[in-house]
Amino acid sequence: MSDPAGLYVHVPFCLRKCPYCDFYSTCNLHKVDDFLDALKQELSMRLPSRPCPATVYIGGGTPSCLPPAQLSKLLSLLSNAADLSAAAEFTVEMNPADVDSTRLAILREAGVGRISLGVQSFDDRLLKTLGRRHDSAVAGRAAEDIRRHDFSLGIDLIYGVPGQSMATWQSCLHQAMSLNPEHLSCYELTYAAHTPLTAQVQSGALTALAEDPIAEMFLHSSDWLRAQGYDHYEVSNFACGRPQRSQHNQRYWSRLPVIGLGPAAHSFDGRQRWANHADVAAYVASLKQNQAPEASREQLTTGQARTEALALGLRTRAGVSQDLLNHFPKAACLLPRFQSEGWLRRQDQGWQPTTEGLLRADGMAREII
Amino acid sequence: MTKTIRNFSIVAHIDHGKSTLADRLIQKAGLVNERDFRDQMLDDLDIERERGITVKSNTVTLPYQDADGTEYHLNLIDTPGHVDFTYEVSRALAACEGILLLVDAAQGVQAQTLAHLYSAMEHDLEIIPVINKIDLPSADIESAREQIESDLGLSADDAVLCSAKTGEGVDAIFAAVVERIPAPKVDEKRPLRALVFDARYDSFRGTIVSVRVMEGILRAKESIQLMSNQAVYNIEELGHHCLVRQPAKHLAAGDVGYLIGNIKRISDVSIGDTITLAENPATEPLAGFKLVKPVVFSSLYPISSDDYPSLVEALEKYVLNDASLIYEKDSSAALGQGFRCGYLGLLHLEIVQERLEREFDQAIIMTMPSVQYHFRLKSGETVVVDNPQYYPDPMQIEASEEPYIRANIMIPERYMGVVMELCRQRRGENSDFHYPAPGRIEVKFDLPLAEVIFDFYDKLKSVTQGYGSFDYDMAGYRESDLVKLDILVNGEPVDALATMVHKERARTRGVQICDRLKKEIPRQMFKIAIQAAIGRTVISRSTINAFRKDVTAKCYGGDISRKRKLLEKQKKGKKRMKMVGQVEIPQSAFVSILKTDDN
Repeated sequence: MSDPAGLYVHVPFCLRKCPYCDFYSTCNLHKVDDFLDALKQELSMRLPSRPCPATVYIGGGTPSCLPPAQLSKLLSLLSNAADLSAAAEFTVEMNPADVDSTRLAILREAGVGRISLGVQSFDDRLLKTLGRRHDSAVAGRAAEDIRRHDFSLGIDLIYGVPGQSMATWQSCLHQAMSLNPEHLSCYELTYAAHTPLTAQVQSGALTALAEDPIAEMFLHSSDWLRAQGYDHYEVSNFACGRPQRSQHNQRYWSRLPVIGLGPAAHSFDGRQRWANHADVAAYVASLKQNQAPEASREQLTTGQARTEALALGLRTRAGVSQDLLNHFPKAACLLPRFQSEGWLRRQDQGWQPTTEGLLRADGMAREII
Repeated sequence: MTKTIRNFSIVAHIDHGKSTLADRLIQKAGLVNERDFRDQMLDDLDIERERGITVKSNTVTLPYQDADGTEYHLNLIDTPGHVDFTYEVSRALAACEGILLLVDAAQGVQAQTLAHLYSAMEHDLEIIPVINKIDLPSADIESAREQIESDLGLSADDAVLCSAKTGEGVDAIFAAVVERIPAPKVDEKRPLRALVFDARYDSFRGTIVSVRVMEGILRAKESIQLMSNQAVYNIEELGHHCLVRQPAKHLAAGDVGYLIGNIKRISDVSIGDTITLAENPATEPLAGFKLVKPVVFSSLYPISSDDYPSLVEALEKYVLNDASLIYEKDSSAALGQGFRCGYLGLLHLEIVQERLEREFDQAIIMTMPSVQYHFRLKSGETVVVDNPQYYPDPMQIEASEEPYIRANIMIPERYMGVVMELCRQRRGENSDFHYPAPGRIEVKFDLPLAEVIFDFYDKLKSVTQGYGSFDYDMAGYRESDLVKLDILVNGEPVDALATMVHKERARTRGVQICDRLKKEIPRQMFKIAIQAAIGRTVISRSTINAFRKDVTAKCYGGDISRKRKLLEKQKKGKKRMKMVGQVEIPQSAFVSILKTDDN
């Protein structure tokens, strides 16, 4: 790595699978040691020269579900393989049910500065639908704990959950706000293929919300959070002031290199994208044989790189440059149309999506390419 | 010689086992060994096997030896089974002396059984009733026999029992064909007259013509003349169809076979034409010839305009095998370069569309089918219009006329009410009834052709639960009140969606088209307004709402490649859509409006 890249570590373990989630993870915690051994091997393979990553992000899965000793081990593997002291941001994802002083102290000690807390909702009924391990009281205490240990706090919420009304969503936002998070992610519930939640909707056991109420929730979040001084900088992300934006995640949207380690992790070096095996056993087996645990790799063409830049740019408030748009012949007649619909604004040398525009980012990308 | 020839056809109501019996006869005659055998031997096209219908007829000569050791040539002439091809059927029957009339032992006599009986009687053919499917547990042979007596007026004692599936009774069928169907009565001395009843195209040999020699003798190497257009060809080869072509030295009066004579295009030969010798020609052609004219017109466009050259090539190849399709260049503001095509009927249109897509790999859009209308203008001129694009300026129209048919519908009495209702809905008039047999009614109606071409036949089948049979004759033009129905998408008229309709039907049709398009056009980023209008008057409208949101929640690591691939795929998918104005219209939307429904 010549330029410092972002570093992502995927911890593929959960105490239990949430019914809506399609990220790769396993509930077999007996494999943690094997995973850690393999990760050590992957670190030495990928980061031979102890680089200084620009950002570090440990996600999952549920990294916080690791027992404290193994969590410590994971962090020391990382700090042995890379110099984390210069990282602009060091984030770990936590489930509120896992937050305790022991773990927080371990994280603090390792130099973690930011906790992304998977609250998802403050409505206990919805938390049940989402199959979460915690309730709202646990989430509140976890946030206070995190504050006491002096971490920067990011809260993840989900809206558009079956049974959710605008009123419950508003109250959820209020409760999140009362914890003064530096960062807030509000994700629309996605019905991923082959998940139990999707099956429940298909069987009629649950009723998905219609498009209109979901769009209203999105617009309300944006309006209200912006009124509270938050910056709606990406479709699903809000920061309390520009410096609080997620440095690591912005690397994805700006197409900056991020090296992903662990099963199912994705990497990008500026030209190629590759993915690790989405299976602990396969991941461990590859590394035991001293082979890169890659499942796939692709080299992007210039056209593909532009398509990505367009699609990602339209998801951020920063938007896309006119230079990039010049490469898309259809843009010339579409942009004024999007502008007149109030979806894009012309600014400096580019086009920026409005809130209504962020709500249609994929559609605009589809039209333009 | 002719004493050992029998020419016959198998006719049956759909699914009564025609193809299976033909298969069994072919097998029994030893024309094909077990290894090469496949179901529906005579049906070549995929579409025939799938839909279980016969589009192109096939002929096969079956060798047969009777108990005395006499060798026979049994010529089995296959017939298409749809009203669009009535004329082809009549020509095939004209080549026969008898038919096997199949009756399903479980279902008994059905509508088409009767219709076939009548056409056979018209051609003065010997009719052998065959009760098929006697192996079925639900077979009721006794009541099938009764129906043969009461409904068909034939003697049940003459019926042959068989199961084409198991092969039981097939020997008796061979025997009945030899004993009961008369040998052709012929005169070899007279000048040659041979009936053309089928033609197909072979990429190596050119057009292969199926003929029944009526009089005289046809010899290899002779010069022949087509009596309808005096064209002369040299016979290169003639012989019998035995699944493969089996060349012979001559075809004598009474014989059925093929001839090849460097006939480059299938359209050079017309079904029903008479072939005679260039030297010593016959004075009169055989009776019954008519040029089949298209009655339904529709335009054909490639979905992607880049594919126009490949469509040109596909059509050129296609018509080598289907002389009844006619086409000429056409263009549309919405759809670009394409062709205006004429078809025998809507089934023919569907067949052409399906074959172009499957066999020639073309992605095409068809416009609303139309009949040919006459417009008398104030200038005194009369124009013939089958394409709404050329609908005259309404201010200049003095009068308009549309083509009518005389429909002949045969039904069991109990369906009288629903059939009357259907015909009235379709603007039928001048009804007339006959009772050809107890419990049966023959209904005649004058109907506008435009009302029949869409789904009249399907509708009739459905309201009569399959018992209604239908054929028609053209009955000239009558004064009518026609309007052009425009379809506007976001305020822009789409020429390819316009139709000419009777004024009374305009509103229903407009509502129907707006609804269909609303169902078929996927939601897009912008709201889409669809309107049907006559001139400037909007008579119906529907709206396709825009997406309220169109964005995924998360886009990190692996989501990025996934999103890119999805965008790339969607971009490809757009090639199956037609941009009209600023709206993407899928092929299915154009197809959906071709289907009408009275609900």
